[in-house]
Amino acid sequence: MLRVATSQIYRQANTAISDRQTAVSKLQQQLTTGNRLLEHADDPVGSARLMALNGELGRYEQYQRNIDSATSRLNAEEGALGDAGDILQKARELTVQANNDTLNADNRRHIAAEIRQLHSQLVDLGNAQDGSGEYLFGGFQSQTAPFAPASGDPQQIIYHGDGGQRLAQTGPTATLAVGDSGSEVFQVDSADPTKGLFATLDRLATTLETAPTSLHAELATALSEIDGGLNNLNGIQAKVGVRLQALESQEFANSDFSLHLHQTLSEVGDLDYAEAITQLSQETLGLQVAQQSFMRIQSLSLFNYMN
Amino acid sequence: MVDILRTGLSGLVASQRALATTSHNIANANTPGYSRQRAELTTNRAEFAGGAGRSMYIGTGVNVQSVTRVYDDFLTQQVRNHGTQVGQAETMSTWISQLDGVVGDSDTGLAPALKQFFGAVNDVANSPASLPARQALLGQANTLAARFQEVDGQMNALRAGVNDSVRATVAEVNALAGNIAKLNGSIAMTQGQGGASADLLDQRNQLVADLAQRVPVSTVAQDDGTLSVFVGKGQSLVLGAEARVLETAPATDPRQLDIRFQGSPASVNDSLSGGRVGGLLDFQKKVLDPAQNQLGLMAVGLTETFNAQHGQGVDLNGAAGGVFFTPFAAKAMPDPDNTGSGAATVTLTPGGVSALQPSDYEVSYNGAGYSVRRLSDDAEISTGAGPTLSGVDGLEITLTGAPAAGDRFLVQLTGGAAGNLQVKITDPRQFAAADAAGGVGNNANALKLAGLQTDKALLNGSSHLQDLQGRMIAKVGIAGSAANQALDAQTALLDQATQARDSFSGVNLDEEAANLMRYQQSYAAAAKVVQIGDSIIQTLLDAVRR
Repeated sequence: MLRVATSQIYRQANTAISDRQTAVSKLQQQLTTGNRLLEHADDPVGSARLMALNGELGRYEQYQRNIDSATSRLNAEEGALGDAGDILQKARELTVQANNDTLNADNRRHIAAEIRQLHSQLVDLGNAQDGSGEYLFGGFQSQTAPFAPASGDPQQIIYHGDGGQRLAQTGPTATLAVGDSGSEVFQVDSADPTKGLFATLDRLATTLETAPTSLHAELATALSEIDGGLNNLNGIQAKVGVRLQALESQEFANSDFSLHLHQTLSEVGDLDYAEAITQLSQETLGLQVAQQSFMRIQSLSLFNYMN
Repeated sequence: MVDILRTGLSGLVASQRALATTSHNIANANTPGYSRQRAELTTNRAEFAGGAGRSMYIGTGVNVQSVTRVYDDFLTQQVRNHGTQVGQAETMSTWISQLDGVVGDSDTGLAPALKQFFGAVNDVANSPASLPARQALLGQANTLAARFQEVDGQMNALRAGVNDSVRATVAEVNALAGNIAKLNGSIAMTQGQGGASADLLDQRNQLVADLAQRVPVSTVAQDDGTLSVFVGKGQSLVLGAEARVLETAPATDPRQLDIRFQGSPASVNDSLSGGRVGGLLDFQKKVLDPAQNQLGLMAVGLTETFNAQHGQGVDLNGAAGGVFFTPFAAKAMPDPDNTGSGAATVTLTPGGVSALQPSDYEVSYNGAGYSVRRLSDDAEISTGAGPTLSGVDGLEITLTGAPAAGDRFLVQLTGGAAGNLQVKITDPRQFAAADAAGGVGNNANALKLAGLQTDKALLNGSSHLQDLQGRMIAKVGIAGSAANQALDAQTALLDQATQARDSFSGVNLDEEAANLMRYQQSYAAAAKVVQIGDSIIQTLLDAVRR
């Protein structure tokens, strides 16, 4: 038969009660925070996983920000391209109209004035800015107005931009162009100011103003240049549309994956409340039992009967 | 006739002594390390009262032969040994739990700052010409640097706390050793007078048990009653009435302490692998150092990879990208005990960051050549005759001067790096968002810089910055869970050993209550005997008087 020292009774009660109290306090902390992991030591692998998952989630939030910024820029570009198309369409109609032999010089001068008006509208569009004040069509030179009249000849438009095209990171491996340079959109050449849509409109207006003998031939050339420009614009508009669609589908893919990450995060890091509450009642019961049994046992002493 | 009085008296005295012993037990029921005592009763030598042919011996009562303690050396040693283990596990567990809070998680510590910094790089990539976005990036970079410094500072505070605890615990060890030596002296003296006092022996055992919670000890009982106490790998701490004194001194790495015997330069750190001191040293060496080195590797990795990519770009002024984070300088510290005049310098080779490991290194000179050991795994990774040692995990060590055989240098880059992370550029226009083509709207380099967040450029292409943080957290967590498990297991074993010891040696108050009554009764009975003896004598005297 094992002898029991009096100190053992106290020590055992102490250990039992303090163990239970530790467990209860930990459960309480888990329940109030909703977190399964209170210390990395509780589940080192889970902690590292939580960290990685949260990091990834953060990156997807960033991709979303990048997508938002790209969408707003591409929307601005789409609008400007549409307006440019309208202008060219209008110029085309006027050119066809001007090609009519019934028109006299006055009529043509009026049309020329209209063309000049369209020319300056097109220059304004070429200098369109996005929400943060950057020029849409300047390539990498996004803080310099890309289209400006030459100092010697106010009708001649010089391109100050370059051919740079900015990219946005929209997913872990996905990048997407968020603009097109003015040289692409308006077919200009910074080295040769006689090329491009601005020069075409300028020449067209001059032709109508001066009405040379080669009028019909020149109008036909202008018409074909305008048609070429329209085709080019349509092509770029289609590209921008495709990019906007790509952004949208990337956004879906990203939010799908973020949702998945959230679920995994919750599986790894969130507390199973039902289980925790069951445990809590078990532990508190255990604590009560330990306290009550200690009170019962410690009151038993032979000394109580000595007098 | 007189015999009855004497016999009765012996009963009185014996009961009184037994009562005294019982009272002593009751009084010491809660004294740590106390072994219950027992008055050993024996009969007095009987008197020969018969003539020839008949053997008639008449008993002459009782005496207390000795007061013994109920003690088992094996059980006591078990308690002591498990106490050493619990001391270590408890210390480890407590300190790791503090570090656990320092290394942070997804919401605290470095992770949010790192995320926001790279978020700001992305924002600049989205509008590279925007000065507010660039200003925000500089702000986030400075916040990130501050967070690195803060976490490193908290680790240094833990280090200082560990050192304070080491000093305090060594002082306690010295006090305990001194008291054990004093008790040895008293016990040797009482031993000479016919046996040592049970209480002195218990007191000494308790002191040794207290000592064992702090350092691993072994003991040898000597014939003169003294107990020799040895620490670590058999270095004597107490011999007879003499105790040696331990002291602490700064180690080669000035952030750490060496423990050594007074008057001897050799560090005994490695042999103190248990108890609270062992726990403190282990925590520092196996948990805190690696964690701080991992943090440092993150800082160096960020600085080197970011600077390298940043240098490829062009800033808003059209100038080539400069240094974004201030580069780190590796240190080579000579051991204080070096006798030669050698010196060492260390540089991180270009591109060496990918091979860099989260560790310090020790260069030692054996008289003919050098050897480099990586301290994190104690592996020899390079040897050579000098003066230049390359291939040291991306570092290059150059030695000059005349070292003496046995001289050592501690090489450190990642160790204290995180505390020195600083942003070099101050003008937001100097952030090189453009690639070599230039242009204020060019974001090509910013995109590449943003990609560094997940570029596995470190630890030989196996990890990116966040991986390193994950590793640091997992490492601290695993150490913590191992320490907690060890603590649970060792506490259970210590409980068992204590139960076994108490079950044998501990005081049971009910038992003592019964003994009290028992000896009280026998005292009363013996008194009755004396009374009767007295009345017999009276009867006789009355008869004679007539």
